[in-house]
Amino acid sequence: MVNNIRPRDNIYGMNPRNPMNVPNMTNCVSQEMVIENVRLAAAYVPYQFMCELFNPVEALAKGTAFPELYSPYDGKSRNRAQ
Amino acid sequence: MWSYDKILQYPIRIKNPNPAMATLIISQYGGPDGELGASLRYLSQRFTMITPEAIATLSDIGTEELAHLEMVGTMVYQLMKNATVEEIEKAGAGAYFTDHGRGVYPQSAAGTPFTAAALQVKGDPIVDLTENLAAEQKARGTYEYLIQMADDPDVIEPLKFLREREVVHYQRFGEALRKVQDYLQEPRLFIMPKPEFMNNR
Repeated sequence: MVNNIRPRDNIYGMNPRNPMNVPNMTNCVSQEMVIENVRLAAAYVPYQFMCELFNPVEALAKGTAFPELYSPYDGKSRNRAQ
Repeated sequence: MWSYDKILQYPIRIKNPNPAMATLIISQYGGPDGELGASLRYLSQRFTMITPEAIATLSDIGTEELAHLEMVGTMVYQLMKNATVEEIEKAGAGAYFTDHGRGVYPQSAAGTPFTAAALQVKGDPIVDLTENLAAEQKARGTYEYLIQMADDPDVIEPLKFLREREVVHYQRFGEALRKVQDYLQEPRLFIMPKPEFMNNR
């Protein structure tokens, strides 16, 4: 189980020996995997934890520094009827 | 209190005028799901928000929405700037030109002036953060419709940037909501100090 990963493990995410952000084999999980004490009639978004980052130029071009949050739009409608 | 950097959050250099596109993009300036409404919503909700994390999230995102307002305004301006009156009329932007010339006026694509009726400040932290989750999705949807109608990469790239920011903001408001929900569920122990008048007994 990985639900005991705290946000502070890996706070800077980037490995100083790996400045180009080549995905490394660290066991950093970028989000909460298990939500505890879930109640009915409430909304839950999993917490994100800091792991890898895009470099600043790439982050500006993409609109986010976080690879796990980058979700480019393909320009197609989400409504299948259209 | 704010400080201002005289630079856009993301560069905008639109070479070809397109008045028709300008009168569509204007909706993200002063329309129902636009950046002006977003920043006013978040910056006004701050006063009654709870937990330092959620208050800071509203301040930061509300401020960034002002930077997005500036970006959208710049796009509208550049799309109208070098268009001739004839081109504006032909593009179907004559109604906008009649009232606002080549100025940037906060209105929806359909011409409704900016209204706070499209946003809510309820004074209840769960209500407000849930509203914000919906607001980010509405803005993302609007940017996707605009991207579908745009054909100039100079226009599409900033729109894609702004759309991605809505995705990131949704995650942050979701995390703020978690903090607030956890805080409200925490059992709290209140210790009452012994009243002064009981000291002599």
